[in-house]
Amino acid sequence: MTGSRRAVWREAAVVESIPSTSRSRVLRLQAPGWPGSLPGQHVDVRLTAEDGYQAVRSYSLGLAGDGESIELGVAEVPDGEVSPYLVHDIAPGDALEVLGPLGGYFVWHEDDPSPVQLIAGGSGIVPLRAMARARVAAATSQPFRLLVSVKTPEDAIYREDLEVLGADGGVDLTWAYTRAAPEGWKGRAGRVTAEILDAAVWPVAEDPLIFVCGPTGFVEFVARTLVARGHPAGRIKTERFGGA
Amino acid sequence: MSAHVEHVDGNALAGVLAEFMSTDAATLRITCRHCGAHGDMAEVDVERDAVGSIARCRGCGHTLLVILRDAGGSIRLRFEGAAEIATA
Repeated sequence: MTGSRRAVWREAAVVESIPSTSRSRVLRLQAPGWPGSLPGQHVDVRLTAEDGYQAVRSYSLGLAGDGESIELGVAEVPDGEVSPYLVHDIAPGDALEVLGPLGGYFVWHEDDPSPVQLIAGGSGIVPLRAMARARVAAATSQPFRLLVSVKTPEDAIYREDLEVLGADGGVDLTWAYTRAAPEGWKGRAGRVTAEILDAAVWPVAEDPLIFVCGPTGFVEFVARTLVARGHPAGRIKTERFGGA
Repeated sequence: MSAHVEHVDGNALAGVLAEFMSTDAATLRITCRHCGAHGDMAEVDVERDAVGSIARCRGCGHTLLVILRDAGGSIRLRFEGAAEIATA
């Protein structure tokens, strides 16, 4: 699980493929020799076509822990080369290769006593869900807050799981909707603003450890706004994917 | 600075480079030769395709590293505008 382990590609087999939204899926893989992972880590996934052509992409792990089981949360990138296959076509029994667990930067450690603020844009929820689940599994006492920005309720990966964590899992959960909010929801649909962050994020005085994951523009806006509010840049861990 | 200087060869680098290269890459600290910005490797801007990856400085946009994988599977790391890479 630490950086001292030599990175090797491992064969993995799809065990379960669970639709999460119309454009995302949770894949459970079995990978002999897999050493387990820390909350927030990712894997590189390699697919090889019959003609030998290979494609590699990075996917966050939706669940951390020991054992040879790997859980990936995969969102479809329109016109993507790999994600549409993983979201729509791959089936139990199919094989792929994984390299990991990777990344020691965007990781939550359960022995860190800081309050934690998680901020997700779209499929950026996947590694943050692993952190929230790890906090509940460890039964530690760090207060967790989670702000999730999605287009509509139907676009929220792990939605039911997050609702459970929010209801009795000890995670203070806030939703933000950019396109359409559910019936009866107080607030206006639109991009996350400084005011939404002010209301949902731990105050600077609490010295929270902050993890932000999402499209590049979202992450840049959130990180810039939080630094402007007085959060030290070194307390804000970021992970960006795609987008402008 | 140690007063004693050893004259050895590259074999003697195996230990310290093994230590360096076994560090988690996302937590390495990288410094831009052009603008002097430095920070975690995890924070640099990366473009990736089937051939390789280009890492750019988020401060000035200059290329820091180019990482290529050739058909035989060997990996090449080219230092472009990276002045320094350090373990955390």
